[in-house]
Amino acid sequence: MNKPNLISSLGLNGALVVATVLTAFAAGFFGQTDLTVEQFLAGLVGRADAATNIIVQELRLPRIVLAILCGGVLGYSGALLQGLLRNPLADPGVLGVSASASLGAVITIYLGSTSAISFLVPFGAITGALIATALLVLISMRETSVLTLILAGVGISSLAAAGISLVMNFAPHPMTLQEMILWMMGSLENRTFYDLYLAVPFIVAGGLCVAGAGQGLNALSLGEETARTLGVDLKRLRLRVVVGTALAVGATVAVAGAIGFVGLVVPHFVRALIGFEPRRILFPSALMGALMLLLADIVTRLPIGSGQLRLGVVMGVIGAPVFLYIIFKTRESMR
Amino acid sequence: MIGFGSGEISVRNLTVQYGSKRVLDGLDLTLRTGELVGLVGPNGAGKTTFLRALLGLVDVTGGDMMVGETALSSLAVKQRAKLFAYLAQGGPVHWPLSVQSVVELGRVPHNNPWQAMSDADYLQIEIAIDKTGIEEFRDRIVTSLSGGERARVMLARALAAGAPYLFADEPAASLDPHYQLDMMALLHGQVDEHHGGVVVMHDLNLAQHYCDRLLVLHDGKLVADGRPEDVLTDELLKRVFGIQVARWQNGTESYLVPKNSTGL
Repeated sequence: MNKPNLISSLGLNGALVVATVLTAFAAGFFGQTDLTVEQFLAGLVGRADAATNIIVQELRLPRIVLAILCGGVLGYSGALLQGLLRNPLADPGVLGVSASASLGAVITIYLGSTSAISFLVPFGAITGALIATALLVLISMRETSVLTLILAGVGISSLAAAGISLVMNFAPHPMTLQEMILWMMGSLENRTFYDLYLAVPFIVAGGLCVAGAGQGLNALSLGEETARTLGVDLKRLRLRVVVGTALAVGATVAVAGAIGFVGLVVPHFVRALIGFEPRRILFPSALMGALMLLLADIVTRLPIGSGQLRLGVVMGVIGAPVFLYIIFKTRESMR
Repeated sequence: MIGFGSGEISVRNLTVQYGSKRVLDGLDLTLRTGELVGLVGPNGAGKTTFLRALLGLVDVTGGDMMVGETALSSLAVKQRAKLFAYLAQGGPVHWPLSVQSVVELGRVPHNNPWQAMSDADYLQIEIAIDKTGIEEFRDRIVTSLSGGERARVMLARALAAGAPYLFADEPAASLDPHYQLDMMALLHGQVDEHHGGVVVMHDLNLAQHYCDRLLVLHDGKLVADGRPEDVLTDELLKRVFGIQVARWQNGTESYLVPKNSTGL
């Protein structure tokens, strides 16, 4: 079976950049107030009327930038973790960081049900993510097996899920419960630049942690033992990927809620186009994640959802069938 | 790399202990380029552990391992990776990668994560592909190859490193007779004044025909070290492997067949 790659990495990256930029512009036009191209561009540089300026700069722009950042983080993290764990089913949630961030958020919502501290929810989520990260670091400093890492992730996820159920169980008011559930469905509605300022430092730190990890992931294709004899410091690689993805994904969950599926499916789409080399799929996965989240966010704003659709739900509803299709098409080579 | 060239590897009193069990017990030996060394011994004698100790994959309990005048333990992982290439037993390939990209992984020790591969890297890759005769399927997906073809690809990956020493752990174990001979010929063929190798194996005929020197391990101790015809005596085979053998001579080649196990 000789299946050449459909397109080159460069071609894919180029196409994805163009598509993302175009979609980002399109995302600027849609919303409760549809804007024309001229209005959007004028609003972008502050030359439109006051209302349009505010809509573009304070409502649309942070949302677009956050969609690109969060989608990029989720896609890149999914590709990194699938490479590290050599498991195509890994996603950014596999280490339990997303669930822990959700727990932090849900606890904050619970505490805030009697007072107005909803602006603290992202901080609660970041705190949850950091606690989970610290646990993972403790584990990966001692243990050299990837299997233990996966199992620890399962354990942390289960613990966080149990905590979420517990908090919901004691929710003082149905409205609080609804707020928690809606938060967990993920959304980019009403996000401001303050959310961006909160998330960016963690995402940058995460990015620095994992920079250059691709070579080690490539070597890991041959198993842990051979990777070590190729000069890869596995402990360090594992620590960098775990900490880097935990920080960035934690920040993403804090500002956008738990958005499943992007990190799981995007690397599969990219592999179907440019092959399986772990390092090569990293960057295109970030771009494709950004593109997918932008598109899904546009869908949440279309009239069909009457403003009720949540981002995480759209991702799942669109993503799952496409994922099944890709798996069906590529099952030959995944044996 | 910084001047180990094809320096000798000297092992002195090497001991590896897991809990209370001595897996390697005071090994003394020297490896040099220009020879293919067969490492034989019963299951559990410590053959793989010996290779893993040289590679830095297990913690050494005692003794010294030197390359030239430098202790192996003082080398960075990347430096050690340039010195020793390792062909693991039945090593996995986790993704359906092309043959070409698997062989390219052999160059990882020579590049930092930011470097693209240089012409020198590609030259080594081409040499390895040429030596192992896998040119015709370099674009195929490695998981679709037969066992024999795949073994050659994994050997090409190890050779692409251009390391002075190649360690192979039972490279012929799961191959048919044709590919067994083929693999041993390739391993012997890569040996020259700058390259040597150590092969763990169980087939004593292949060992005596293709190896320049044999090391015999028994219960973690080195019990023989020398030319195959001097090492594989009836007495040693009985004592170490618990077998009696029938022998015959075909021209200059001698053969042995285990005929009964005497019990140990």
